Amino acid sequence: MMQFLVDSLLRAGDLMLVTLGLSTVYAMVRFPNMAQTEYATIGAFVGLLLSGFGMPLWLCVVLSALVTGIVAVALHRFAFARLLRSSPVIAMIGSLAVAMIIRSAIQAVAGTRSERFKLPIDVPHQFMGAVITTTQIVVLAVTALVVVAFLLLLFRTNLGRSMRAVAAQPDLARACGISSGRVVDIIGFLGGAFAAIGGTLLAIGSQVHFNLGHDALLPVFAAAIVGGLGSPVGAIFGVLLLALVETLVTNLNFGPLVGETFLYVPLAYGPAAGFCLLVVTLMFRPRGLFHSESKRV
Amino acid sequence: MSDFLLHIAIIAAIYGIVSISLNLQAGVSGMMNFGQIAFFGIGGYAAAITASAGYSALAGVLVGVVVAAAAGAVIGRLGRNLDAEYWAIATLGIAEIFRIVLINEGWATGGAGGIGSPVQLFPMLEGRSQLLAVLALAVACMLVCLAVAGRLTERQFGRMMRLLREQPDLSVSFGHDIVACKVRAMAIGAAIAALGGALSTYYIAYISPGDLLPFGTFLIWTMVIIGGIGNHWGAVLGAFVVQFIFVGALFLKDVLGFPSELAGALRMMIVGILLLTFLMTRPEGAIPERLRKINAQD
Repeated sequence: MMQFLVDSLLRAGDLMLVTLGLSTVYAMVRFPNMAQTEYATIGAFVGLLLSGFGMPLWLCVVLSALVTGIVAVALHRFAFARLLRSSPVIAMIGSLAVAMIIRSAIQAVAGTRSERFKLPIDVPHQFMGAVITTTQIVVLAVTALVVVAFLLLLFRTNLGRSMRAVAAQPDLARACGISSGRVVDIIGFLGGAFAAIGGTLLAIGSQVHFNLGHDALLPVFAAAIVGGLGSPVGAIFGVLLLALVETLVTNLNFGPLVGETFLYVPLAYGPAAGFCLLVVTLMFRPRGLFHSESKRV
Repeated sequence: MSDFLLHIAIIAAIYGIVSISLNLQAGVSGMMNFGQIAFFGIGGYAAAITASAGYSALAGVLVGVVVAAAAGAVIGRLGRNLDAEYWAIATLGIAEIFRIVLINEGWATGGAGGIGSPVQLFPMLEGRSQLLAVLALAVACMLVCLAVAGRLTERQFGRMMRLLREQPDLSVSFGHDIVACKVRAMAIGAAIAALGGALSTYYIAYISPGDLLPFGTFLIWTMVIIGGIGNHWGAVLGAFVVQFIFVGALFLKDVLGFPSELAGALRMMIVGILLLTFLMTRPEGAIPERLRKINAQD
């Protein structure tokens, strides 16, 4: 049971920061940016490159977040802001094109082999019957720290208040003297930085690979949509729910239901369970669980 | 060499069929279907499975088209009140569910390794004449699809779909049944895509889950966008352009001596840059949709 919770948490930790970035950026720009998961790949590779120079790991993560955040803002200004003038749909397809370009560029430069961060080999800990490594604990702790810091920023500072104002009513926010361009830039930067941190942590836990972001595309979007695109709290909830469902479906013994001793859903059906959650949620809540049209800022 | 050109042309014609199918949904009706490759897959797998069971190509095509149309109608109905971006991700997710099921239900589908088709389209012909016959069939199917899609777009159905795309609320206030419209657009588009999938499987004699990755859908979208979204001739043009980029990348690989994984990255990059360039400078595509102008003052 404990192992099940730990597995769910680890899966949630993998997807959390990328999804949070995606959903928060969506609230500002009003189109789902399909290049967002590629920012995770960029972040992971920048982190790997820096750690190759012998930098301490925490510095690699911080610098890769900075670099990727700047890339995200630049891409928004150069490409997405212009595409948005046509329509959100055009911007969404454009983000797909950007994702293809980023992925193929990384593939061309770094090749298709996967690499690892050079880390000391972990000793797994026993924790209330569950097995977890030190790296995994650190990854989860950093993820939780970033999430909490972001929520404090969003709900306890003036900057967060202007972010929520621009998300809820862009025109009214501008009329109140909020510089919406600056807020969009800050959120775009944070979105890129979160994706980079998430990607680097994911890579530290497993491997760096040019498909790292692409593999996360569907689970990340499923989680963001289940929670309701544009709602940071919804994104957090969506990721936890998705991770729980994916882990549950593959760990549950369905044997007693059909009168057999053991009947497990094959492990490969885990992702499918996540997409089923997406489809079922959309059937009952067409805009996700946490969507609300207007709210108090 | 000319056999190779015939092969390229056959694949391009099949892409053309699939591109028309997406254009009917996305271009004319404004439905952001990001799971189109799944309908191609339904047609392809229906062909391979019926062929393995000993049925003829005609039966395989019919089964694929009917199953895909039914699946399209169900998906159109389920997604009837979703916004464009939610609809896009939901269809992407459904296509992935389909692919995961194909990989895991190996008893019927051959699993991740894919499945072959023992039935050939023209078993009595050999070599070049067989290729020519397949090409003639593929082009004929493409032209029929073009004619069907064109007729649908010009008639009342097309007018309703364009109104639904531009002004959904107005469309409802006119008393159009927009759910029925969406269901029909999805079913017809899915059926056309399944025809393309079945032709592809019979021609290559093989289909696998690797052919149904989300990248396949992105490729079809690229064809529709660069050709001219909403224009069926544009969709066909886009299909041929993308096919020739793919072949061109292969030639570059041989001429410049690239390793094949670099060539794969290169062609994905060319497609991405082409798509982005068109979206930023000419979002209406190479052959724009021609809308009839009505002067309100007359």
